[in-house]
Amino acid sequence: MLSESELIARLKERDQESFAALVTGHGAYMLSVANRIVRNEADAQDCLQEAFMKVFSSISQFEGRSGLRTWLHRIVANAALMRLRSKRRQQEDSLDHLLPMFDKYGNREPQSYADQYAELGVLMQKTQVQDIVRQAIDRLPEQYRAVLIARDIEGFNTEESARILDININAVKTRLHRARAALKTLLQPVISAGVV
Amino acid sequence: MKVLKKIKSLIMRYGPMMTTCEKAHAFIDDYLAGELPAKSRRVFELHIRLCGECHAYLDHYREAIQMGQSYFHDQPDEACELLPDELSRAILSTNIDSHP
Repeated sequence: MLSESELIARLKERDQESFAALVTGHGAYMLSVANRIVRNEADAQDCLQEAFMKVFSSISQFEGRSGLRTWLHRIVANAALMRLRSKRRQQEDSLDHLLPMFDKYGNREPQSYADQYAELGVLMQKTQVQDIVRQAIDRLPEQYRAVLIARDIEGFNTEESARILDININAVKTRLHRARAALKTLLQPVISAGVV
Repeated sequence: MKVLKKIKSLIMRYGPMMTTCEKAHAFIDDYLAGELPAKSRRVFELHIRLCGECHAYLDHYREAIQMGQSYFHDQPDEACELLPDELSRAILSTNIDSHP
């Protein structure tokens, strides 16, 4: 079993066995990262292939400032987000019904969570929370989900997110705000129930 | 209730260092990112202290972000499955062939 530094050194020497070790050791993790972002197995596999092409072509530039796994994660997340960009729908879906409302004086209006409570059912186990969060994120229109994942989950900054998703900085900020507000509405029953 | 709401809105709109819920709402992300200028931050924080609805909203908004983050960060390791052999072979053949 090679240590991480030995593996990196061998990868830089383009040792074929070390490439195989890298794919075997990290491929499944990277596939699951891609799958979580694109939510489609075939697309996730394409992302993984693209990510490894990037890894193999740029391993010589890897300086070890982050761990190998962190570097691989960032590359595959980038590939998956770019895939979302390319699959973006022409027409932007609306999530206005999930955003807070204000009256004519600018006061916050109470929001109705009836639909979400109905879906939630009477009893909720802690183990179900992860499913509810996943479903809530999946319910966001793709252009909002992509920004939420880029900024909040993968930790890309505003400028990086704009570049990866090929939108301007203001669009990143606006979509992030709307996506977070919608996610909050969708998760409100869980939050109110105090399960988390 | 309507009268109270109207009084609140007058105070929030015209009082010194005050702002409406709607304007405060637009500041949330910059506030959470620590990017609000000092004066705007003071106005925002004063509004949050005075407005119960916005105070609760901010808490829940923050909580929703954390729930999303923990879902993604907790799952990939647990969700790791074996890489399909076919995919693994495809990756290695493509990349080793093109990067000798």
